[in-house]
Amino acid sequence: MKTRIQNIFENMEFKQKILVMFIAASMLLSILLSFGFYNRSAETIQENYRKSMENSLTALTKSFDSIMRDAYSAGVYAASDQTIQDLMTETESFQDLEEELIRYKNLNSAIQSVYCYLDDADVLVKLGSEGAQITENTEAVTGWMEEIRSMQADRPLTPVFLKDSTSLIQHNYFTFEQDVIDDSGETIGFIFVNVDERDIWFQSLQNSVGDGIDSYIVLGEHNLVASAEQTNLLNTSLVISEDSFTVTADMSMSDYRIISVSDKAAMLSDIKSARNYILAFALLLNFFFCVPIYSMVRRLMQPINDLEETMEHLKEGDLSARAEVYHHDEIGRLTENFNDMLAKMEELIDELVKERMLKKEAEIEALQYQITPHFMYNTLASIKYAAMIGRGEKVPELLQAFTELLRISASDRGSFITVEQEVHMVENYVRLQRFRYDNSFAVSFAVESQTENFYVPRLLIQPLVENAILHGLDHKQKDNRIHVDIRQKERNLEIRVMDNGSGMTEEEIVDLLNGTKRTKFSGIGINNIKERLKLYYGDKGELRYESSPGEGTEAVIILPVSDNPDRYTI
Amino acid sequence: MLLAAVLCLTGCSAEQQEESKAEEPVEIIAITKAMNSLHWQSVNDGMQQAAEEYNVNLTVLWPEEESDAETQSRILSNAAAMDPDILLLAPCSAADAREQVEAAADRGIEIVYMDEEPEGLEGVSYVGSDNYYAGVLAARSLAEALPEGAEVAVISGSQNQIAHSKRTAGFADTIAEESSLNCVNVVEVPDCSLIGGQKAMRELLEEYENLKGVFCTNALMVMGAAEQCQTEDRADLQLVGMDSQSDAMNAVKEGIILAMVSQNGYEIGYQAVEKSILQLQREAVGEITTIENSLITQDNAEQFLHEYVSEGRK
Repeated sequence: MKTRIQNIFENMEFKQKILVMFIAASMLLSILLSFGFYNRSAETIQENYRKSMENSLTALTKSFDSIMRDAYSAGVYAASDQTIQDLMTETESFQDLEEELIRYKNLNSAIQSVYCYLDDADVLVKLGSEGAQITENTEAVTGWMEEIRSMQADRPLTPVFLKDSTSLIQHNYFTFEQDVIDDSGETIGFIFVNVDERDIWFQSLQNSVGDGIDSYIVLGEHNLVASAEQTNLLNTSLVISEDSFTVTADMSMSDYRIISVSDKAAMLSDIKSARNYILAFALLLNFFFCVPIYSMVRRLMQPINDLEETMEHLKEGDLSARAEVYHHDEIGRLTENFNDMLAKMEELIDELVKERMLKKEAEIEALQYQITPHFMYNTLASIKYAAMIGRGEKVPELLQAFTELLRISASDRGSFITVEQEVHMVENYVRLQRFRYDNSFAVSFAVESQTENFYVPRLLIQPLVENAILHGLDHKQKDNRIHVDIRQKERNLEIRVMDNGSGMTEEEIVDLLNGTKRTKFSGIGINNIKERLKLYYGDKGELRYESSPGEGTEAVIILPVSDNPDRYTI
Repeated sequence: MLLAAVLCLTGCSAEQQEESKAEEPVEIIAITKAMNSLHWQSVNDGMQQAAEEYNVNLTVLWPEEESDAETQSRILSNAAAMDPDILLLAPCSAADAREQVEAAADRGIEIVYMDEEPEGLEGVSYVGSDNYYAGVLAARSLAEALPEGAEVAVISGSQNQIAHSKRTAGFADTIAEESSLNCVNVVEVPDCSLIGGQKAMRELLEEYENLKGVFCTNALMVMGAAEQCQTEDRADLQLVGMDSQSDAMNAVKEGIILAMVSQNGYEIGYQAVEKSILQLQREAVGEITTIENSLITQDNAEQFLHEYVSEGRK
């Protein structure tokens, strides 16, 4: 189930495949590297950023704490100051009180104002930067004081963040409150020390604001109190988005915390664009490198192109073509092996051609050899002789045998005939020869029935029989015998032609087998039989003679059984 | 696919770093006796240094003068209301502070005393000088320097403060038991100030013509006393003071003051924070840690000054 892309890829030229793979790998590497670099750097940047923010926030919290500690202390000292306690029972002139209070207001320049509520006189003495002011106690004033006191009660070291509703201009203050208790234990008033929230920003927190950085003072979880830009944030909740980077620092003395929020994206934007540049650059380089890489691959592929060319030559029939070996790498070895294979092939083809030609020759020889005119002349002469000497009753038989031989030789054009047909021919031949030799010999046949349908090369047995008749027997004798035995032994056909003639010497046998003597009947020599057997059957075909002088002769042919006339033909 | 996998891997590690929050810092509120002397400023330095090293949120508060027990009491009550992990206290009046301290301890706040030994308070560690021994050292130095039977006196800070009372006791006992000197008077200077010391010296010189030596239980007072002696041309009077203050040590180097019993304010502050953390972790509860006191004399004043400076204080 190949996808289209897979298909396209597989059918590309090899050079292109390599190029594509290289480009793909290189791009993948570039992408991984740039993203890897980006991620690690982003980590490092965030870490460094966090550390530096923490440091600067710590410095800021110290500054904030220092201011608040002084503001708190001012309140406590003022409330414990015996002189002030005495002056708080005043109802007429508050100037002395104001002078005492100024000392404490000056404890820290960030203290905006100090208020002192006198229970007896029911007034609020306000000591600010513009001087002193006496305010009658109104609902607003009482409300403000009560709220401060109730919020301060549980957490006396945490200043209360509240708008100053006792004044026309209502600043947002961080206020510390202390009850003033006289020696008898009675509460005679309250002292409020106020720090302006805007001052805090200007003095302490200004530097925590910058590009994409927002700072907030919060109370509790995220209860917003103040921020650099905005005021009136009391009781608003601070919502921090997911893509923000936050650093928090706690104030030591109070419950406030400062949170610095920056835009992650802004922080990482530089490095993000760096990554994108690197990526784009890498991809560009990849494309530029296509060309040199392609030509390098082309060069490396040269041997393969040569191989291809050589094969083209071969296809056109030039077996002598060889491919050039460039280097001793895998392709070089492949080429060498290819060349060796070609050489071997040339050899084999030569051999094959030779063998075929020989077979054809032998076959053609066999096919060409029909009954020789010499034999026909002799046979007809003997038939005429028979008619002449009054053995005319023999003529039909002889003519019959002769015409049979003619028919067989004229009709059958194949190289292989059945055993039955060959035997039939031999029988006819024998009949004629017996008449000629005046029955000086007898021929017997022992043919196993299943062998009759086996195929053998034509003129296999007849020459043997003729040889026996013409050279093996002494025709002056009357007890000459020739026996033809054909049987199947396992997968082989064994044909024996035995005679009780004069036998042959070793040299005669060798001569017979290797010589070029041709028979009188067909012109096919014993040697030809041997050649054909070898050509058709190789080692499996054999012709041998067993004989010794005076002991008779036995010719043995062994060949593989075949029921197919075409199997061994060329 | 392989690409996506590797991208994820490299991306993941970036995310992990996000939320590695530091562990919660220890909240300590320290209340000293005052901040108007170099001694307390050294203590503050020591505490601040320890706070930085140990991940501590440290708040330091103080009354205007060492004698102002009332203001300190109010500060103590406000501080306890904030429920810190630890309260480091150098009480102006141990007796006055006791009730509040016990209430705070009941609420689970760890208490460690500085400078004042916590008499009768269980589970409260102490870091400070061995004040009694300081008195002993002072007595021995005067005994060595003065002839037999000479008259000596003590200018002491508020006897409400155990530190000063112990120093006085150590001195008086040693004079009586070990020497042949005669301690004629103990003058109390409640605010332990320089001017107070000066005034006390004047009174002593008026009353005791044969006075030969005076032990002042802190540096401010001995500097004041020295001034008075200079004015009244009594350079022969041997003065011994206490606290490692550079101006006093310089006076020792120049022979104006016989000796100072050293009190390493920086060490006290630093170890107070350390020990309080150990107490919080239940590893050392109610432990007494005394910071070594030695005698600064003209011989070794230079060395003490050098160490004083090198440890980063004025």
